[in-house]
This record gives sequence, structure tokens and C-alpha cells, in this order.
Amino acid sequence: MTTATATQDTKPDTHVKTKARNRKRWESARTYVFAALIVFWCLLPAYWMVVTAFRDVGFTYDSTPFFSHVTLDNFRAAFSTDTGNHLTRALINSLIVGVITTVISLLFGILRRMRWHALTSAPSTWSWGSSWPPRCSPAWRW
Amino acid sequence: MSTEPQSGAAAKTDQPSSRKDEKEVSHRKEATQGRAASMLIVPSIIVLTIVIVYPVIAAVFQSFQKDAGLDKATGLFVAGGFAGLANYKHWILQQCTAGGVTVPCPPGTLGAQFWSSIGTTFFFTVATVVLETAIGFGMAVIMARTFRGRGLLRASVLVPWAIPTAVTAKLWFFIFAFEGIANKIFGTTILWSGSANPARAVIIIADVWKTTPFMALLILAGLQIIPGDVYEAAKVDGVTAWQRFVHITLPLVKPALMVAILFRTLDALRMYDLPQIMTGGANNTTTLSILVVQEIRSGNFNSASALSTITFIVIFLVALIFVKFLGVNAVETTTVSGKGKAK
Repeated sequence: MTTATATQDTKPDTHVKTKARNRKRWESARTYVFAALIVFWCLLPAYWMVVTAFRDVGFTYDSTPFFSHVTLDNFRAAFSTDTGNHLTRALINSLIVGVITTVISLLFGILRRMRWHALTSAPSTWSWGSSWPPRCSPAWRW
Repeated sequence: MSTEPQSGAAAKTDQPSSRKDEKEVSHRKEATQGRAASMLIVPSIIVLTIVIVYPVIAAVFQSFQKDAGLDKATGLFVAGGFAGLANYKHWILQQCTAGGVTVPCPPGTLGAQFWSSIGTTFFFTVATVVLETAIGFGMAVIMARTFRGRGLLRASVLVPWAIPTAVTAKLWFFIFAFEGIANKIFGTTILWSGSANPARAVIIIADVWKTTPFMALLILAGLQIIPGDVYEAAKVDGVTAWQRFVHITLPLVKPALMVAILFRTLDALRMYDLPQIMTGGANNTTTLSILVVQEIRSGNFNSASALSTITFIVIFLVALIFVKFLGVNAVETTTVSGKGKAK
């Protein structure tokens, strides 16, 4: 008697358990599929850019999905100044502009943060950089 | 001590502190507010005046100026002077001057493109923001789950965002070239830059590719502040996944979501580089910003100022609608009543 009831009790129990396990497995499989989709969607165009960059000019529109006709000519062409392009100069310019604007905005930004805290919050809540990086919580302030 | 990082939530609970702390607090308050604070504001205000206030006022001022030119009656060269609303009428009412007479702008001129470029700008804005919100939400939901390789997912999502827009434009330009990979994969022979709809589709795809990660990260940040026990409680009550999404996720993520949509919309309304590089504004892909630059390039600085002022007002109105009528709270904390109303 007792054994019979025991088996009767455990049977549906294990059934539920396997069902739950299957569902979990199914859920995680779905997660991985979507994650893979996102990764491909984000990386494929960028990958294609890199592949094209290393490809011989005559084969720019070749549809081989992997690296083919590999050459560094494109990079040489990009950095050469023969055609009036000054990529090196442009890179240096970008660097200069980037560094100087960062330093200046940081300088005034720091002053402003100090102002913010001094005016809007009791010093006990002083927390440097609490709103940076922007977490976009409802409490996010500019 | 008081400068040590503290989360906002912990600070808000206002735990009764010891007397010594309170004394220090009031002392600190005296020292930091008042004169010191205003001294700290001054440099910021000066910089903001130089880089924001002055250019805006100068542009608005210029938009009310007449072009310098020859005076018909005297044949002398005269400086501009006040033009009234002529520059604005030129765009909004499509009034062009031909030989001193006001006529409706002939098709093909920059002036005639005003309304179509407004339409294009709003079309791009609505299309990209809707797609980016939908896809970004999906991405955020996936990114919020815990699974192996989540780091890889989050890193790869940042790639499109990290590539400069000009490079993105060229990248998709190559993919959607006539001989490009897109035509080969789909077996089509579409000249993507040849007519309005394919050109617009390509620009929208490129923009969605580039900016969806931004949306996804903002929404992810919103998702992560939802406490997990809410979901657990719902699960215990036997709530389906869809009900959990509609009645828990959506209302709780709404403030962050609306801020993300607001930012994206304002950003999309001034879209310039993608269409400019991919099509140069051909085939009805001229946005307002492109029109402004074209007007500047043709030398009409005053009417270009008027157009950029109009663009500014349009964007401002859209922001106003978001903040006033849709209740987006980008600046202040959400009120409790607002949360209660959100079902």
C-alpha cells in the first residue's frame, strides 16, 4: 500500500520537474539564439568593412565571405599624400581637438559639479560622479 | 568622510545621524553655499554664454537681416538692414524674389524643398525611432538576462555605436552599392541610391544599426533598476510572461524608456551626416540640416539662419510635446503620483 502511494506521489512530481527543466532549457536556448542574432547583426557589417579594407581594389565587390585577395595596399593608399589626402595630419588634428576639448570641458565640468552639489544637496549626500556615467534612472539629473 | 560615494537611494532615507555629523553638515553647508558656489558658477556661465548663448542670438539676429546687394533705384551697393519676416516667409510661405518681384519658389530651388525636407526629416525620425525603440528593447531584454557570453554580447553591441557616423555611412554605402554584398545576398538588382524608397530604406537601416545599441543601453539601465523580487512575486502568483512584461516591466521601465525616446527623437530630427554622405540629399532624402548647409553653401547666410532657427523651433516644439504632454521627466525625479497613475 505504502509503496503504491509513494510511486503515485513521485510520478507526477518528477513529471513536473522534467517539464520545468525542459522549459528552462528551452528558455536559455532561446536566449542564446537571440544573443547570437544580436552579435551577428552588430558585428557583420563591421566585419565586412574590415574584410573590404584588406581586399585588393579590383575585388572590392567580391562576395567571398572571408578574407580574400589580402593586401595592405588600401592602407598604404590611405596614408599616402600623393592624392592630396593627409590622413596622418587629420589623425593628429583629431587627437589635438579631442584632448583639448576634453581638458577644457572637464575643467568647467568639475567646477559645475561642485556647484551642483553645493547648491542642491546636503553635503552628507556628496557623492562624486554619482550621476555619471548616466544611468538614466528616473533620478537622473543633467 | 562626507565625500565618500553613497548611492542616491541610501542618502534619501535620511537616517538619523549622530550629533557630531549634523554639526559638520551645517558647517559644510555654510562653507560651500553662497559666495563660493557663485564663484564656481561664474566660469561655467561665461563659457556657456560664449559657446551657446552668443551663437544662438547671433543666428536669430541674422535671420531678420536682408541680404546685401544692389539697390534697384539708385544702382548703389547697400548693406542689408532689417528684413522683417521676409526670410521666414521665404521658407514657410514659399516666397522667392525673382528680379525684385515676389513669386512662389520655382521647383528645384532650395526654397521649394522646405516642406518636403520637413516631411523627410519627420519620416526619418518616426521610422528610425520606432525601429530603434522596438529592437533596442528586445536587445536590452536579452542583455539583462544572465548567461554565459553576456560580456561578449555587451561588447559587440558597442561596436556599431563606437564607429564614427561618417564611417558608418561609407560602410553601408559599400554594402548597398549596386555591386555590393546586399544585392548579391538577396539576389536583387536594386540601384539603392537611385530612387527615393530604396535610398530612404538604406539610410534608415544604417541609422538603426548605428543607434539601436544606444537605445538598448539606456533601456537596459532602466531594466536593471527594477527589483527582481517583483518578478518573483508575480511568478508565485502564476502570472504569464506576457502579463509580467505588460504590467511590471513596461510601467517600471517607462521613465527611462521615455527619456531614451526623447533623446533619440531630438537627435534624429537634426540628422545630417548619414543622408549627406550616403545620398547627398538626392531622391527626397534632404533633411532640414542638409538644407541649412546647402543654403549656407549657396551664400544665403540670412535665409540659412532663418531656416536653422525654424529647425530649432521645430525641435523645441517636439521636446515640449514630449515633456508637457507625454510626461517625460528628463530633469527631475519622478513623482510618486506619476508612478501610481502608470497602472
